[in-house]
Amino acid sequence: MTKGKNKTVLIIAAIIAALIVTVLPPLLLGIGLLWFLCPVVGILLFIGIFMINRSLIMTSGALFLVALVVGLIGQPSRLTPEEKQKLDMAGYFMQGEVHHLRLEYPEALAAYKNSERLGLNHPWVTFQRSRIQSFVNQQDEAFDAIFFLMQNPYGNLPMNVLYPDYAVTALRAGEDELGVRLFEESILMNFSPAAGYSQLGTFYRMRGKPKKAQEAISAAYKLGFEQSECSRRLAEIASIQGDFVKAEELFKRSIHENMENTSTYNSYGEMLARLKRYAEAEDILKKGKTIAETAYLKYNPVVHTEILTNLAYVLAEQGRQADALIVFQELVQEIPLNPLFVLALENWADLYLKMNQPQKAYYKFQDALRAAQMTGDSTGFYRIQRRMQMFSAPGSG
Amino acid sequence: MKKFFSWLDRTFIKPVEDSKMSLGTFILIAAGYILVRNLAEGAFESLHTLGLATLTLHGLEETFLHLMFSWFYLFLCLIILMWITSGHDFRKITRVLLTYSFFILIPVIIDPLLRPGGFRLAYPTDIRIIPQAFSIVLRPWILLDPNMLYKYGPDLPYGASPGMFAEALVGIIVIAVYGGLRAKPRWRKILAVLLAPAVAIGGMFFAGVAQVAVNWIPYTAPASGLDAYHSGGLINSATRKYAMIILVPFLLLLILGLWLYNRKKTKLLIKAPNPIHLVIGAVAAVVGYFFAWMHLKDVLVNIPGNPFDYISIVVLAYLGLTTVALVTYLSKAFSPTLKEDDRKTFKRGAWGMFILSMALAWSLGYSVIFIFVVALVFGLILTLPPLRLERIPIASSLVRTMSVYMLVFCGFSLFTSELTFNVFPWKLALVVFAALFGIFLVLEILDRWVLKGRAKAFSQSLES
Repeated sequence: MTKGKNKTVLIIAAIIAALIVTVLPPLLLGIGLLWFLCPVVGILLFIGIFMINRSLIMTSGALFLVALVVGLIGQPSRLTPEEKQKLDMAGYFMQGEVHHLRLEYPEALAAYKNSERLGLNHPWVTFQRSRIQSFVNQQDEAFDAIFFLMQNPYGNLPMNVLYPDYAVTALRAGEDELGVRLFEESILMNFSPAAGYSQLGTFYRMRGKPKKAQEAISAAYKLGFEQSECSRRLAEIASIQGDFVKAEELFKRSIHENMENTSTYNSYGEMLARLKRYAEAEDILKKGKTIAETAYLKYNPVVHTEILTNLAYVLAEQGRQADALIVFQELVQEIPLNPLFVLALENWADLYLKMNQPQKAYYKFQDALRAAQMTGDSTGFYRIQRRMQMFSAPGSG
Repeated sequence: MKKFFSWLDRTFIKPVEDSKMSLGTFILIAAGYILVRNLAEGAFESLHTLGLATLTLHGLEETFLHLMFSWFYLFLCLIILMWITSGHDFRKITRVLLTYSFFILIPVIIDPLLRPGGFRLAYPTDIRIIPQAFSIVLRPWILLDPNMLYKYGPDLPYGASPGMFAEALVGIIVIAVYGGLRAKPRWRKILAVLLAPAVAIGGMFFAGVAQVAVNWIPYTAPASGLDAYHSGGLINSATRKYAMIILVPFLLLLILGLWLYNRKKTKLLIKAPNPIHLVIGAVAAVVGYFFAWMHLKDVLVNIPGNPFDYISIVVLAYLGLTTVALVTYLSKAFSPTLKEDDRKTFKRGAWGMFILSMALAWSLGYSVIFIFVVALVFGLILTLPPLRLERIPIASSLVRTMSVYMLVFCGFSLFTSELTFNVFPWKLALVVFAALFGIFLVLEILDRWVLKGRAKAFSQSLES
């Protein structure tokens, strides 16, 4: 190519490139601010080309991208209704995923529903929605959603993901026969069999079938599924059946399998307290408390609250009300958005009653009432309200 | 004693120091130990889900991303600190430490012997076990009493195991012996030995401080009380968040490490990519994030909100830089105009950059990794034989544009995951593509015709 032709090509390229950078963005995106930003970048690009300065050309490329962001911050781009709908749909989906992981279920459910309303027809969204509906006690809706997924095998989620959840949802929706059958099938098909046995164990225990529960949890244990947890659950069943020796053995095994299983310390302490072995219960619960407080990543506020409540009870039963009060005061650091907290505050009020301090008890009942209201614990709310009626006006003694 | 140390030096240290193997091989050796440790931890210690069967994705993320880079970060910190205390050749320290880093296997051998099911080990960069490291230095005899590990208390938080104590002790001995043997003036020898515990503890501190510091960042915590790692956000896996917070400082330190290891080759690698091209890559990835944020801000509540939503912007910038560097290295690795030695360096650089880019993309999420692979494919067809599209002007600028363009989608996909290509506004897509293509085309024309013409004219003037 001759020198003259090179120059012509370069001039044409420079004009086209500068025009694209200057005119195209404000024209297409409809952002007024870009009419001011893009020409500056375009001029820079034009100068760069004519000065044959690679750095200047590339800088204008980077600046162009930045200018687009600045333009978008100042004013949203012009979108077709369809584009807006699609973007909102994706946004709500992301919102749902984030709330889901933050355990904010009502918000997550609303976001998933919004994304579906805007046209997101994705099995994962339906699956996630079904899980949340199950959590927030909308069992029938959860069952419908997962049933729909099971009936649409094409473009669907893998069966090994769906099947166990389908079984859980069926059980929660009261479809006991179907749920049990699905779990048995799921185990046969090797879809997370250990988790399947564990779930069956939970179900049988809830339905008052301890023997079957024991069998299922033992099977999960043999398959190596959360062994410490399995041991704890087996211990709890043995304790309910009155076989305290076996229960104690299993609690110890659970601790041996995972020294940091705070739930085990709590249940073990609770059982010892029931047996009136208060000193041992205190020792176990204190260990659990220390571990709960130093668990860092595995910190579980619910179990911590349970341990504190039980420890305070054990101390009070030993006549150490002042120590119990100190333990209760640690509850304040907990998050007051758990139904368990209502019970803890109620116990705290009971302690004041025991210490003959009705006024303080009344105020604690008020806290419990507020917590019940915040957590939507209607049963707790009416129970506390009824108990508060036995007080005359606070301050009257 | 002197004889013993001389034998130790002659038999185990000198041959490794003088080895002709490449840095990559030493890294692979250490990666092998780390892999064995990770898998053995899954099998013999309690509570770590490192098996690949039950929770596949989690297991893969822990094994190959989070823990792998945690260990390398720790090793790098130790190497730099050993270099400071002993003043010995950085290259030799690196070779010896990476080769003898198999002491990290001690816990998975000792722990199951003391207690079936093992212990719950702390992560290698968990600075909360530093008090325990102090305690082992001051009271090594507690190793003989593993029962004390069952006694919980404020002095003994989670994560300790007899094996880890032994590992720390052996680690300190290795550092002390090597420092003592290699430090040159006598005073420095003494210093290197005395500071061995400080090197071990300092290494853990520097490698782990960023992870803890993230939780100091104030943010709207969820009602569930979960911390920044476990409360979701744009990055929905705690494991990948850990990997992220390790990779951000690790990559900076890695440049320093490579510089100290081989200044000449590192200089060659650093100088190869055009700095402004690197900036374009980083900016492209980051603006993708902002495009999504700005378009979705009416819908999103508290997003971005989690500290990692913001850290991901830094990681995206890193990804942009490493992608551009990777494509450049590939181009140079197969360039017929370069010397064989340099081509070899670029090939190695490309491998390293590939691994780092993959790790960065992986830590950002699965949609990002898929899109990044597409960007990489464009880079490959641009540079690799037999196609080497960079030879053909328009095709070259088109592919180069696509490679950077995909980075925009990487950033966007943090908000829209697999829906990215369905929801990206087409007008914005067109504007970005057209502008980038125009700019790369102009550059191509300049490179091929104008600058080449000038070079030709210059050589002709020399000849005449």
